[in-house]
Amino acid sequence: MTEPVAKLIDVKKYYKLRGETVKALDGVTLTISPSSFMAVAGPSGSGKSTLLNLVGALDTPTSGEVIVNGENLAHLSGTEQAMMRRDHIGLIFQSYNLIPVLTSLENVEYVMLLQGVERAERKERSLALIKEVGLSGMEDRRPSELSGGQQQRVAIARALVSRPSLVLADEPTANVDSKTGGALLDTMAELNERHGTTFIFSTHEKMVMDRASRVVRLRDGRVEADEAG
Amino acid sequence: MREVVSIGLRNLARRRSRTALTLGMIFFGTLLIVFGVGLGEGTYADLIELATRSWAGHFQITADDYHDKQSLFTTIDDYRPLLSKLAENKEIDGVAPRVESAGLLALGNRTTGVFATGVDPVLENKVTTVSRTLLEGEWLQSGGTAGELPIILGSGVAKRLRAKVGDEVSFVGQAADGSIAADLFNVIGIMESGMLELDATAVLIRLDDAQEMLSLDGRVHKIVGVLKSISLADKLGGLLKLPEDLHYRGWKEVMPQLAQTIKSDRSGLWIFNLILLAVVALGVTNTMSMAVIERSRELGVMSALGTTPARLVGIVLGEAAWLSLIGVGTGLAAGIAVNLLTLKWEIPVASEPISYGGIEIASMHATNTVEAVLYWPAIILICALIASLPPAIRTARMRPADAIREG
Ligand SMILES: Nc1ncnc2c1ncn2[C@@H]1O[C@H](COP(=O)(O)OP(=O)(O)OP(=O)(O)O)[C@@H](O)[C@H]1O
Ligand SMILES: [Mg+2]
Repeated sequence: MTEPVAKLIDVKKYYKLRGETVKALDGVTLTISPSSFMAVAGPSGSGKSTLLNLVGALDTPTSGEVIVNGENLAHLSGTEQAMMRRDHIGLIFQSYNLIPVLTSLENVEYVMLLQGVERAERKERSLALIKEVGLSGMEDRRPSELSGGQQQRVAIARALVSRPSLVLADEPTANVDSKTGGALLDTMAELNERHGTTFIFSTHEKMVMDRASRVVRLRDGRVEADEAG
Repeated sequence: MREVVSIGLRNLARRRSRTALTLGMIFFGTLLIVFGVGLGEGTYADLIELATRSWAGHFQITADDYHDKQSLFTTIDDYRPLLSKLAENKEIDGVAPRVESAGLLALGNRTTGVFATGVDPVLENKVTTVSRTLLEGEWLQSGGTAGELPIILGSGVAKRLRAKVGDEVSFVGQAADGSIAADLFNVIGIMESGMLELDATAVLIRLDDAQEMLSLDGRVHKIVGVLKSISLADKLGGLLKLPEDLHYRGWKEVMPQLAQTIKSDRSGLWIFNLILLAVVALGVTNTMSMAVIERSRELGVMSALGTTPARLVGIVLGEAAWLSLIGVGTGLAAGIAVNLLTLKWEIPVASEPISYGGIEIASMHATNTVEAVLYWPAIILICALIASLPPAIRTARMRPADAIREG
């Protein structure tokens, strides 16, 4: 048995909202094995983003344990969590979240800069990936000078360029047209196959779910179904 | 940390108007402090230079309690060896002996109280500038002149007696042997030093004449000296190893009123500067807080991508550092320039000269002292950086999920 990439044990995330408790996640237990290509599905408000945030060490659970790469996140300091994200996790957000003052190339290079990768190698790897996502010639544009789909492709290049073992994508195709969405999925599937990178992405879309090798359905913060795609 | 530099700069450029506002605040704060401190220190230096150089000297040596109780009998006996010993000291630029006596001066039926000082015409001229403050007439000459003895009147004395150059005045006082000291003097000059008390009461006669009139042969009351550097005035006393009955006093002890006025003026300036500093610091805190709140999403993303908390603090501080460096740098340059301009075009203080610690000043200028161009700007810079710490630390403490959602 290979060690799981991520493991959630009875994870709960409650928010207090004006005296009321919102149960964003209400006891989720999951094991995600390496090279998964997994979709998290469910209606709006079912806890998909919350789940991805917890696995990505962007947030802390109210109770339960989140283990990523064999490390219990609760036992890591803020700095150690940041280094875990830097070295092992790629993140793709629904609303791209590129750094506005940096160009496409600089956005893609950013994580490698944090990792201390050499300037020449940084540039070479970034340009190669920008080409792969079909954005050659747009290296020097700032996010505000790109369309939504183009920004999402920069974000994908940024998440993949540091060769993380786990990529978390929160509705990566929600803001792009279906043709672009299909192309993005092709890229992700290819990386999954070629490098064994684990992908967890959330989605409402049937087309996206069909491409996944495993679909976890959430409802009201609980796992409603867990099936092979 | 190259990305810290460029991200900071680019963010500043992106928020032009707010950056400009804060920059302006730091700029003017620095300018005001550099100018204010420069003006203060320049004026103090002028005042001290004027007061010491025109009459009081950088230091004075007297016997026993003469400084507190100006008794005719408290003299420095056999002063000549001491005078030449002092003259040889390499820190000392010049020394001059003085004899002093209160008395009455009369012209016709008018009489006024005066404070007569016997000075060595040559040595006095090397120590103080009093000989160059004559409104009319000429300075004392050493060597015997037949007939009447020369005297120089302070402008206030001359006014009260309605005396002119060429008038004959009579001095009456007490001599050291118990007799009455009295002599006729010929007014050869009228002086106005700008030191109010001096001009109102002083008359100057030759040392030899004074010693003879007061029966003080070979004795003086005081030795006045100037130093190569006035900063030594407080310390030299300890180095001189004077006999026990002689006392050294630096200018601050000789003119406590002036020293006190400058001291309280300086603390007034301090309070003013602290207020400016607080305004600048609040401006920086405010700007950086706004910048951080506005960009919490962006900073959250940086954190999500693996930027460590320490590095996030560095990014925010880096931006504040740019802001402060540019603001303080330009403010400092402008302040230095303004101070230099006031050297050329002195600032008139008012339509009438004002009195400051007993000295009349008509104009002021600012000096680029170390306090003005180094200490204070450094303090502003440090305060600005400290002021940006709270928002920087708040940023580093945010959970990326919250930061990204809020943005
Ligand atoms: N910071 C927060 N404070 C309060 N409630 C929150 C917070 N974040 C999420 N929630 C609530 O938790 C629940 C789950 O939210 P989550 O964002 O995980 O849903 P989702 O499945 O991603 O929805 P969507 O498909 O709309 O993105 C929702 O009811 C949401 O309102
Ligand atoms: Mg969501």
